[in-house]
Amino acid sequence: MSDSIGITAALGLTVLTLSFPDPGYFGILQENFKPVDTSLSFSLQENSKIRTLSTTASSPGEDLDGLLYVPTLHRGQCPEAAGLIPVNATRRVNLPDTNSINLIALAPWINPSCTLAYMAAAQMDPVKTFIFYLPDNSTAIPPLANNARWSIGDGGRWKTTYRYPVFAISGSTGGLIMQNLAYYSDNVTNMPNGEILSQHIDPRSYIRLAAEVEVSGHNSLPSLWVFLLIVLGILIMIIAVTSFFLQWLQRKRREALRRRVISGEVDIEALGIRRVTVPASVLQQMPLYTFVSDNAVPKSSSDTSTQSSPPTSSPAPLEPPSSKPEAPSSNPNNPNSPTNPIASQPSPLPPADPPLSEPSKELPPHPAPFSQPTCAICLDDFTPYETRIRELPCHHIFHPECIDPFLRQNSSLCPMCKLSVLPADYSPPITNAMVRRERLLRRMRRNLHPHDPPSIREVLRFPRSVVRSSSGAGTGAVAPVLPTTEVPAPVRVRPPSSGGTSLAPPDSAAALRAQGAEIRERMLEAEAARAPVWRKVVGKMWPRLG
Amino acid sequence: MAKRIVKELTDCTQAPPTGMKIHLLDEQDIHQWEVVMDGPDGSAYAGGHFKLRVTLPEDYPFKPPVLNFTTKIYHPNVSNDGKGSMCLGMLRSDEWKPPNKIAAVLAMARNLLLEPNTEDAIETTIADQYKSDRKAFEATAKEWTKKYASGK
Ligand SMILES: [Zn+2]
Ligand SMILES: [Zn+2]
Repeated sequence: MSDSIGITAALGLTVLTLSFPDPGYFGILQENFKPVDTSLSFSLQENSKIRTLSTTASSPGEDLDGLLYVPTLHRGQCPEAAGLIPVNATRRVNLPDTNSINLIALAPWINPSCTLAYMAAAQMDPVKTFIFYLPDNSTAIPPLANNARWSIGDGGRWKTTYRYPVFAISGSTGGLIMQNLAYYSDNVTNMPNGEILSQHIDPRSYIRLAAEVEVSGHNSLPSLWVFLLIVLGILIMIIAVTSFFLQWLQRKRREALRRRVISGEVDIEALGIRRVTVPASVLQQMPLYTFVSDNAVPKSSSDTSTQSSPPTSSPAPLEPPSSKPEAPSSNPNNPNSPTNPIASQPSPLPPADPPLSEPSKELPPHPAPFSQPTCAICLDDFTPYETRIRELPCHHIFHPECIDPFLRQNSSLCPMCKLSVLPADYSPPITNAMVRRERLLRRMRRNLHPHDPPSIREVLRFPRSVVRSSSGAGTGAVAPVLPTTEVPAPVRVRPPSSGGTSLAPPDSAAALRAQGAEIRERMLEAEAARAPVWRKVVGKMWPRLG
Repeated sequence: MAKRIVKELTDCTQAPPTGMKIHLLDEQDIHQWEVVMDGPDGSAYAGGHFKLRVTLPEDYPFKPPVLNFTTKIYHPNVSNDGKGSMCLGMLRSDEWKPPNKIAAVLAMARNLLLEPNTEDAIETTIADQYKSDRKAFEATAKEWTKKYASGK
């Protein structure tokens, strides 16, 4: 609460007498304004006894100068000023009629209404600043800016209304300048030392008082702040632009990966890029029906017969098997489901948007494609004509209560054969992490065997389980113990778009798998090595980069 | 999936896999099994009785069981760190298949006693020794078997 120094403070006031030719004829040229010999004219230097009342629109370090004058009030305003301002004090009309010359207003601070009237009048003129003085003839420095003496009663709003800084000087100084404003307002001849002056100066020239308020400029803090703000602004802009660019790039990459997933070129889960789960809408597309005796298919030979010829060939008494038949109109078992016949085709359909109603497709009872007497998840036997089963696109069957939670929460791969149950053109939501892993995988794949990309790709698209099992050569010896519950897996039936993925010939496959395992190992290592601290930090700044 | 565990447990206790005795560690908790595995004949572990802990996760069979040897054993695929964890390809979570049964896992573990898998070793020094100096390996394995696994 010291002096209201704000950003700018007046350090001193200089008043001089200037002579200059009529700008109407000579234009406004700096060199035309000449100080009049101070021994023959008025001049004044006030150093310190200045208060800063308002710093509005002032810039630090920029001195304020201009011709001194007294703003003219409307008739009837501030009658109290009459005795304090000489009749012939310099007014606007005594100065060149141009807005191109800076002015400095001077007036006594009589009362709030007078002050407001003066400031309003000065607002109309090209004033650089307003200098007030208390008409008390005191030589002391004026009161502090927060003194009640300066109160206008509007809570300081005037400081923003009037767009120029305001200073106060002592009463005696103010009065002295005011008196001289009366001397230097007219013809040279009427001025003090007029005769002498008129010998040196063209009598058509103006001779007027000018003032300069010296303002504190050493205070470099404000400009430092401005500088910092600018730097900060630039930084924010750079960050915003970069972030925008990165996000754009990431979106592109996500879209590209998504396209490749849909086209079947990339299998997110089989590659181990990410576990994928099955959305309810896709799950509901998978056939649900009542299990029928397994005896329909001769058990012993079922392996070979069913394998060689896909499901359709295992005829059944009741109804053709799941794949195509779509019992044309009605699903008698299931009155409450709004089945659309098209939807009853298996997987290759796009996830038709959720029909909401619970289990969507209940098919009539019929035997499952292979001899599958047991649910591999709970190990319970299916009861013919009783157990409801869910058939996956790979034709493996399970209890819906066993397989559904698994597919919804754990994996999109069949627990038996690890084939994806997702439609070919389905893509899970692609995240940036998935994009990164896939790119890394691709890079390593390229580095590993640049000359041999197709077969490698083959390997990498190979279902994960098969690839991985090669990592331990020893498992070969143990293998025979394993497949106790295994059921013959059908020939690969993943829909057409995944075309190239036929099984590699067995001998080369082993080698390729080894490579696949190697790649994956390396990928994991590399990923562990990456993901440094900066990425985490940056990830916080740009959430999606993470 | 408690039902499945009970089913597997019943099968395992009624017809235990060769060379094994299986029971619950705590009758109240079907997720903790204790197995006593006889060292297979013809291996360095013959004559030993090895205790294993089988821990089934909450969401078994969707997540793989965890195998730990509680009896100290000198083997490339069993960690020699007091935990006795056994790494087995099929027990890795990305490779685990729900159709696999615990009996099969245990059979595979026993098979590993017969034929260590040096490619996938957890104790690489033991694996190296197994490959380069089979005699020394077998000597140590036998010694450990005598020392830690001969009791009842
Ligand atoms: Zn089941
Ligand atoms: Zn399957």
